[in-house]
Amino acid sequence: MERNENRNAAAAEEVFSGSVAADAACGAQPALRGTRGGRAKKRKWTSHSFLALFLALLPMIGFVLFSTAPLIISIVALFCDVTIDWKGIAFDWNAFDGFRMIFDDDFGMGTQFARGFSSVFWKSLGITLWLGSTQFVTLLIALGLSVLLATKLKGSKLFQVLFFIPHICSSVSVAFMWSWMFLGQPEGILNTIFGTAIRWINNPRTIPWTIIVATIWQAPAYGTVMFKAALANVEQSQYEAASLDGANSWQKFRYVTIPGIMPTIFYLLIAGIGAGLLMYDMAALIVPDPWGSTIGGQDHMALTLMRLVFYFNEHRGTDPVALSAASAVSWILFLLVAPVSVWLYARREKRMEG
Amino acid sequence: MQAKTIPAKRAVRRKKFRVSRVIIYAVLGIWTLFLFLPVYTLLVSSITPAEEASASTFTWFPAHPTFQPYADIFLHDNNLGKIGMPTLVYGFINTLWITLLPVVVGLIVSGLSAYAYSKLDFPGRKVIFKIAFAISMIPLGAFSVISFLYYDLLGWTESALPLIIPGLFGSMNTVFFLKMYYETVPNEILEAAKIDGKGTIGVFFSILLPLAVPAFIAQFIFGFVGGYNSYMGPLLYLPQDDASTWTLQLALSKIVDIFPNDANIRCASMVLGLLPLVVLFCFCQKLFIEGIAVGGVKG
Repeated sequence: MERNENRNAAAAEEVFSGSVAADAACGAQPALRGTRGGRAKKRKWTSHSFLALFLALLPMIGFVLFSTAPLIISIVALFCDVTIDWKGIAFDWNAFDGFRMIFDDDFGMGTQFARGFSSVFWKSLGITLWLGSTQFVTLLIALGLSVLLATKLKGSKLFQVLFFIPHICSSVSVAFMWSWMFLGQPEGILNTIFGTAIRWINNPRTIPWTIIVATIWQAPAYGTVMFKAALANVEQSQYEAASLDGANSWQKFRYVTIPGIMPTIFYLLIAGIGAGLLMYDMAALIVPDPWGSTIGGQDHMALTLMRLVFYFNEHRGTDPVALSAASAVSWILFLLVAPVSVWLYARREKRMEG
Repeated sequence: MQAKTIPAKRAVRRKKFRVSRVIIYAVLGIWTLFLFLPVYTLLVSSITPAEEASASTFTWFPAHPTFQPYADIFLHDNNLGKIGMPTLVYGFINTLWITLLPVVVGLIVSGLSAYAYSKLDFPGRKVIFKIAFAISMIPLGAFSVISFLYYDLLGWTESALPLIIPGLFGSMNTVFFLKMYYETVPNEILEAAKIDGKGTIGVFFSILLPLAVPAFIAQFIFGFVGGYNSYMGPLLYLPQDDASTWTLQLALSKIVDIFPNDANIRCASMVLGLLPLVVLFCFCQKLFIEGIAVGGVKG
């Protein structure tokens, strides 16, 4: 049996590298470029090559102007109070007040903000990780649904089309729909179904679940389509070979399907972790800030880090330290998201080469 | 004896197969129900007259369904007097130009860039592409709010400029995707066009752009759906007190201010907001699914 498994794995690897060949083909077509003869070796700067370079670099120019430049400004803001008034914007060295704002609970007594945000920040970090982990559930649901759809039953096309619709719904309308479902009055839909009168969106214990349910309603749509496409690319002959070797359906799934769709799993993981940790829309729309000083719903139970950044940004006029704190939280978020993405990306690259 | 057992075995197999089929259908059915339930309640609420809605339980089937709420969207808008047009109509128009302008221009710019990377010669071409692509892979989403400070420095806040200008430069993702597409186009076609007297850029518009129409449509749908549905950008940058500048999603997120008293009109507004993309999707599902699936595939 072990031998069979090895063979399956090796065969699957073969299919895998075959499907990736198209990806790898980019940038590797020496034959075509060779038609220019000896000139290809000694390239010279001509007006043509300048034009080509300019065209090639246009997206990078946009990236530098609108992604890198804000990054640099935010680094400055990390260490500076930012005052915005009619005269313009002023940056003043603030001796790490932005960091103290979110890490030191005693800080903030002298500023416009009533107190430091340390406890709020840690709670927010926990909530963000909790809500973000929904993405793993989403991925599993998407995988399950796509495997069922791939059995090619009658009507699976129709199901596929239906399952995709949540993806084209805006977060605003999905949040509205679920707020409507979770309406706190007795005539709310879930309260009618269960015969309860729970105020879902005001109760700290139920708040995260309202967001999780809405996410699970919407997010698997994308993964289902992606997995469906990936499953179709796994070669049928692999399954036949596995059958000949006496593999059961689970073994086929484990040793043929999973390796075959690994690139898609990696990609969806990267995208999902990004989307999960950077959640703003759904949390802010389903659980808006209540009146008073509580941000992110009762007990801050829907306060994702992105909402905290947004809150600081909104109060940039109240206190010059606000944007500094916003910058600090942004960088913490980046440090959470980036390493995971880079690690997954590197692993993926390695698999492709190996 | 043998002749008897074989059909029996077959029957058992078929039955087993059916059982698994029933389970699959049941799972798919439950998921469909879960997806359908909120949509159904939204639709029902949007045609329930206000008198019937105020019961102590949810009204599953209104006794006298009415389409008046859909008309009221355009007649009883709180902002109507101020901005002269229903907020949602204004929002739809704003969404169209704020989305279409960067998506279309950005696509052409990305196409030109992909053309340069795949078909034109300049020193360091491969290295530059590798660096550019690697840099664009860095997930910078965490900075989307703090970028406000930068646009404030530029004096672009309280306008749609931060939503439009960055998109005009295209994106490396699109470049990567189109580059793969262009590498399958034989060089001879381009040489022939050059002999016909087309310039470097002329070759792109006369040959490569038309050749890659399906790829462009896929990327267009990807960009348009994202733009139409985006919420945080408009919330950050558009003036919150001037309803005539709002995009559709921003207007929908403030729907309680627009129709404070009527839940059914609010539900009807949501249905109308969903309609354009859903209708488009129904007409060209294949393009949509391809566009979204392909648009997301990186590296």
